Amino acid sequence: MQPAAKPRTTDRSASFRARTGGLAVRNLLARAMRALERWGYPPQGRGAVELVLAEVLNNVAEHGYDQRDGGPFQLELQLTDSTLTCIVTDHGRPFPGGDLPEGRPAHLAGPTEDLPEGGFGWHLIREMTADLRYHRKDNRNELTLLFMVV
Amino acid sequence: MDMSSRTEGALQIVSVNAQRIDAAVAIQFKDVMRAETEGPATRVILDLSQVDFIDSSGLGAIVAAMKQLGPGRKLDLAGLTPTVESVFRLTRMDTVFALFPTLDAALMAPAG
Repeated sequence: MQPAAKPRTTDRSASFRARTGGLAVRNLLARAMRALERWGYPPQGRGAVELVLAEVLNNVAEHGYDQRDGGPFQLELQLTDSTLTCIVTDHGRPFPGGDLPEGRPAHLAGPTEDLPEGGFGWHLIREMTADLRYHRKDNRNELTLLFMVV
Repeated sequence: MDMSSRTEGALQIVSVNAQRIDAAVAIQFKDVMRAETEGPATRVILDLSQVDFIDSSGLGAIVAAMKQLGPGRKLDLAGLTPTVESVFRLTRMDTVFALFPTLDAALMAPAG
């Protein structure tokens, strides 16, 4: 007897949970990158995704939870043929003013001793994503990042 | 953080023997760089050929490492993988540092 035809789909999804502290961000990124590798996501694209997610998750730990250990956060990946959607959820502080930072490029003119040592993150996130959406809902931050699969 | 260094006259080569310079090790990296570069070398080449990931915290730590060298000394970067190079390009830090694809290319570059 023939089994009923299942719907064919190439869509994949996975979700990862962790708590801030120690190597939590690094370890969660490693798990997410292994999933993308298993799904055949192009290596060059994985580097960009890993960088953006590192910036977002470091921000969650550093600003959302003010460097406190034990803050829960979650990353969900949804891959289709043409897009990768990453949804980062946390219970930390909302973004100031309820909006994502503008992410202006760092100011590099001027003498070496005045060069910035931070403030690069949001510029990188905005440069490397196709779309960004932020919602504050039920005391949670939900940031949705879209990448085009190339 | 595993790093090693060798000095040839005014030139010092510091190698990062790790795959990542990220938020977890940025402060450690900066401290090791300060200790490693206490010598008189006027040009320090940071060999990043084993590093396949740098986030903005790591980038900030490399900028800090250059600043703590002080005036009259420079930090050049060698052996950047494409992903690492893109971080420098997108933040325009490629205009601040001399970037070389390999350590050999950095060594052959005329003193600037």
